[in-house]
Amino acid sequence: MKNLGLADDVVDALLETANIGVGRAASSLGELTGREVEISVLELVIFSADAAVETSELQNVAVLRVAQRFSQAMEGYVMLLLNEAGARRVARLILGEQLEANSFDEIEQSALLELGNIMINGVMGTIANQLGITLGYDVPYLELKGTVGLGELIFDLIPEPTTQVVFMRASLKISEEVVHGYIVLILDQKNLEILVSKLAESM
Amino acid sequence: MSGGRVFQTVDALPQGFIEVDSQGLITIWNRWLEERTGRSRIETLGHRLDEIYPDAVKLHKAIEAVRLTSQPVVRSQLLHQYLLPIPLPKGHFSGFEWMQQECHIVAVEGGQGFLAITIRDVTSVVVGRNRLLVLKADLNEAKNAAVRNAQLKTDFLNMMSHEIRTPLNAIHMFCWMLLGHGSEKFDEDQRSCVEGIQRAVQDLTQQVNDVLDIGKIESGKVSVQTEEFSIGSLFDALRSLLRPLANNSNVKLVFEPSDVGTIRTDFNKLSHILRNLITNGLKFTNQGSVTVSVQRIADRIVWTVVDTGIGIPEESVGRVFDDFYQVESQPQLRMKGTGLGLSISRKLADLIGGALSVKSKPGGGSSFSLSIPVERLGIR
Repeated sequence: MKNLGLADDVVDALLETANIGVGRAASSLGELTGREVEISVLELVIFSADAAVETSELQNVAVLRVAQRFSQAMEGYVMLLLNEAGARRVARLILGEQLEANSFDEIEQSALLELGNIMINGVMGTIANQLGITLGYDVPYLELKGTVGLGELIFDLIPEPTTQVVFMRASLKISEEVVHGYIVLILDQKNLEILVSKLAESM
Repeated sequence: MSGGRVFQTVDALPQGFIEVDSQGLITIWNRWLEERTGRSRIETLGHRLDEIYPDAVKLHKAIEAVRLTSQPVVRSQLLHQYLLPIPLPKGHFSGFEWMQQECHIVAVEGGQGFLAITIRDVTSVVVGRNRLLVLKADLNEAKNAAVRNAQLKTDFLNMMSHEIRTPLNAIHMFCWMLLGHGSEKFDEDQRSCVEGIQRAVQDLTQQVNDVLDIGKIESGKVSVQTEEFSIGSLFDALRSLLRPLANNSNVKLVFEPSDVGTIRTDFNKLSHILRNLITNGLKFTNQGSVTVSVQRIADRIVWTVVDTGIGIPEESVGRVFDDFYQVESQPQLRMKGTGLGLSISRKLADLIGGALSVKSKPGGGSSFSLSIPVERLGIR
């Protein structure tokens, strides 16, 4: 997938900002759980939502999504995606208990929502600080989405033909175990341009 | 929405709702909180939350985080347990001293530093979850114990059966030697005694073999060895094996001629099943016959062993293939065997792809059928 022709230094700046954000999230999670937690964004790609429909990422796996709308200086959605097996492992590592194989109960879902909240807050708070912008946020929510594919995970939030996706592949390392997840920013073309121009200003 | 309607709305919520202003002073404290905490609005409105609950450090930190970043904060029960020290209502026993809570804190959009805090009581969910976890752990332990016990039983039976069979073989051999070479020195009574010992040893050996067989089948140590053979050769082998037993009774053993020619399956297991069915028929028939036949019925080959014996009571028909089950109505016959013969037959039938069934009525004899699909016998 191409980076929509964006300059490499803009993409690098966003990747660096995201890494600062997930680093803060890791610190919070480590403090909360008493375990060593490392989170890093390994790759950042920006592409159109149409291309997301065709991607093989998150195909044929049940997905757990924590989504949150943001507004004001920039509007869009941010979501944390974990495949079901990954979510189960993260929950086990964070909570220190074995989860049943076939479901997440209400209390476990709430803990995973808090994990998503911490990661999203880390990334979005750092982006807002670095770019010097003010964002407003809705309350995050968690959904077990089934095997729907990345395209549906995007279009059910912003069904615009001009939707763009900032797709970050992240790794969570907890007590020497690694789980992969995805942090996804969904913006329309206008808001992507705001993000890119603010990034360019901050460099 | 007017101020009055806002208060009415938050009072109707089935969860706690607090609003604090930019100075941290409480501006809304809903009815749910009044009822659960025992603290009225008069005591709380206009006061700081950390004055009322100085020990709720986690909650105060979360509020400060929201105030600094405007980002919503979620606090889950599993990671934080209670955030406000709200005691459980009277008469509510859950194993916890405090209500278990989940909490969301958000900055009110355009609210100039106002924050909204919602608190949900999840005590009953946590209690239910904990009970379920304990129940699952207990069930798992019980299952592991049952598996361990079953394995111990199998190991014990196998070990004992081997230990018993060795001296039995010796007794059987010495009886055979006495009857063969030393019988001229015996009078009639002495000879009868040795023959009695030999019969008892044969019965006991069969019972030990049954226990060994069931142990092997249950531990998955029995494999299927297929070979091609004719129904005629199968019936010849059975006739030869069972002739002594049939000759010692008033019952006629009949093998009916069959059109079924050659089949491909495990000869020993098929023979074992039919031997058990025929022996069973001879054992429970005082007069008349035991008739063995085989025929093709649609896509299956069906062996039938029909006797003219005492039959099986209706309430026992469904249980005759259970391990160690013996029909209660004939106490004089209960000591003959372990009650494993038919159970072994059913398990062996499963192994070679067949099924056993029985029809019977008290006093009207029994009919046992073994049915195997033709494709499992190499027949088109």
